[in-house]
Amino acid sequence: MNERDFANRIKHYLDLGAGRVDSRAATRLYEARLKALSHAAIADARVSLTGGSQSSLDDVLPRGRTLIAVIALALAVGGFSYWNALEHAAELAEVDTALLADELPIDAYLDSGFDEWLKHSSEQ
Amino acid sequence: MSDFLAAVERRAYKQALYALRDNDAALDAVQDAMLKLADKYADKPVDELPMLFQRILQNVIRDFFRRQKVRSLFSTLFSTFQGGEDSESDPLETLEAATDSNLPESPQAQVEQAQIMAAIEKEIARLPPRQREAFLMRYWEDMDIAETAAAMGCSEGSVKTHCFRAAQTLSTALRAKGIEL
Repeated sequence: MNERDFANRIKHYLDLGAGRVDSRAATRLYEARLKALSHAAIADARVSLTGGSQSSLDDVLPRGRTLIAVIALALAVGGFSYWNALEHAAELAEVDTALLADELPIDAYLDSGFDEWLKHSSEQ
Repeated sequence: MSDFLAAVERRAYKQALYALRDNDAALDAVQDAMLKLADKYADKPVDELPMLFQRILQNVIRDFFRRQKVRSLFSTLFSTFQGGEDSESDPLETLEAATDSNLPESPQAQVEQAQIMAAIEKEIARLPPRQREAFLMRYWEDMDIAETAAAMGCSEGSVKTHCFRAAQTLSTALRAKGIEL
């Protein structure tokens, strides 16, 4: 008898044994199967939700809104920083121009901070 | 998925029982394997399910042995010289007949069949784990050599060797008990 024939005869007895599983085990196997199938249904639902969202306008729109809000916020923050930097540069340019043209207002000389700056810059 | 699990659940339970030799652990192993298959591979084609399920089941069985090793290490550390349960009892011998549809007609033939079945199950349970896995997947689950190799994570050559040795061992052991198939 070759390996396959021998295995087939063994298989016959193994099948008989599997058919005689006690009722307690059979019930537990049935319950385990139902549990697994409910898990499979949940997994299916998860897949269809994530997969289907790309084609559905209702699902896409909230994401689009969020994206637009984030882009708008980033633009606002970037714009404000840029405007702030321009203001600062303009103020400095104004002071520099006034210094070069010797047209500093009297307030500048009354400012102790400006006086201090003049001392430091003349020492250098 | 439902049909596949229904078809395979009893064989899977028996496979786990041969390996673990504990009814509840075997049932837990099958349940774990079913849940893992359903969670991770519910969308796979049906023809891939046997290989995936077998791979998961064998991993669950191995995990059980790992956990048992750790547990037994602790139990030997903390409780020595305590009378335990009868370790000689074999769960395969306590299985009851749920249906008698496969029983032969005469009582004598029924007894003989039950004896041969019990002897075969006992010898299968005694096989080295890898030989048993290969033999059962290949011949009981009807998986081809490539599928069995993929499920076991070994080469096709190893599967053939395991199957051949398992068949030889079983044949010798059954003949020694006076059983000719």
